[in-house]
Amino acid sequence: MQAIIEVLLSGWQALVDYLSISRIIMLTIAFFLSGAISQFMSQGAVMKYFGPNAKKWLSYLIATISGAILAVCSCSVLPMFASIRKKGAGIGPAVTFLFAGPAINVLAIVFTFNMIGIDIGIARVLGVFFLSPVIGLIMYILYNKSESIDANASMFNIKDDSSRKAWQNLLFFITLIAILVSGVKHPIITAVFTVVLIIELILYFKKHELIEWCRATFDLAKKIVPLFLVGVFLAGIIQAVIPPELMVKFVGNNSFGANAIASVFGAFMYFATLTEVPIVNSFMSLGMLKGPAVALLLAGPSLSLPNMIVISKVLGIKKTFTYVGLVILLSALIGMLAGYIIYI
Amino acid sequence: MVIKILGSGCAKCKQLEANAQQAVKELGIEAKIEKVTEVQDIVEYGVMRTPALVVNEQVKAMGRVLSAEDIKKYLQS
Repeated sequence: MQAIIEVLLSGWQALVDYLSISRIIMLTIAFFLSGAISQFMSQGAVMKYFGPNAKKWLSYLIATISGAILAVCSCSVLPMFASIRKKGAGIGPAVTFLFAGPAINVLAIVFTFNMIGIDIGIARVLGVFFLSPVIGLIMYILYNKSESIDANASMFNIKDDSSRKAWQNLLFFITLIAILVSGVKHPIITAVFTVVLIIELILYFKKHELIEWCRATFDLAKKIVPLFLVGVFLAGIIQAVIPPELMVKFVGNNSFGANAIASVFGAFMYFATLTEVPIVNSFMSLGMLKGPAVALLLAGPSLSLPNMIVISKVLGIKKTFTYVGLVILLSALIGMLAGYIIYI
Repeated sequence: MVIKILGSGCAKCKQLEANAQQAVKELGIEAKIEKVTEVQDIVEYGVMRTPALVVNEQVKAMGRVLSAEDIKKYLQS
């Protein structure tokens, strides 16, 4: 009984430690940014780069940053993936999109920087930027011949009904990102940008758009916050339950083996949106090194056992195996590399 | 009339289905509402962003949750 209470207390303590006022403010801004991306970012402008006639290198590039600019939720990743593959740019960019979409979303990146640290955050972003096109290209080289494409260019011509010009949207997003980056650390700069933001909102936006923005933000928070809090709580429990010796033994060095263990674990384990961040954080305080942590963060969000089963329905068993294998192997290698670089 | 809701089963898709049911009820018309959840089938409609609304095999809207009022317009025309 005593032991159980201690474990639960450890979970509670993790929650209390994490939820400081400055963090809550930061996360609120991040949620508004994510809400704005899903509401105002012109999807039509992006989708045309996934069409059958788009330049291939552009497809890969856009697929790599798609997660940051499309705010794709896990349920919309697969239809888009299947469409890009069958009707559009083909298997290469489709796989790039499949991997990068969930891995590089704004909230996950903000949480990583904010909770674990700048070095791991940068390693995560660079890792995704490198891995996504590489995995896509390898899949293209291996399987392009066996793919049948039924090109449909009109599908990728999506018109947006937006009253704003592209530069107005851009200005708005830059202002929001500036507020997020300066945050509570530099209150004066934040205040200046907030005033700029309010002016932009008054000049460029209609009232119903703002209401929809708030609603999108609220929906997002409602979906993610409870799961995330459970994740933080679980991370606290992990810290009390798993003996540090075990963690040190398996992932307490930067060998290829340790990185591979981390990336295999990340690939098969299911992490609810963003919970990979607090969990990796507590693994690290138990003795996981930075290399394996990066490997886990790279392989984690894009793959899980349930999600592999769904992907295999779309992609077939053989291609799914190759994809999963590539993610595990390359994540481990990047983790190892990052481990060495950060260590120095 | 056959109304299809395309989506793999996320909250937005359920909301769209509920709105469609409401629209049908308020108009008092005969309509069958079906759900299409398999990704392959969704793609065959040329739909990338779910949820999507299909009325008599024609895609009417995708990527957003239409209100019951909006759905009514598509059902009447």
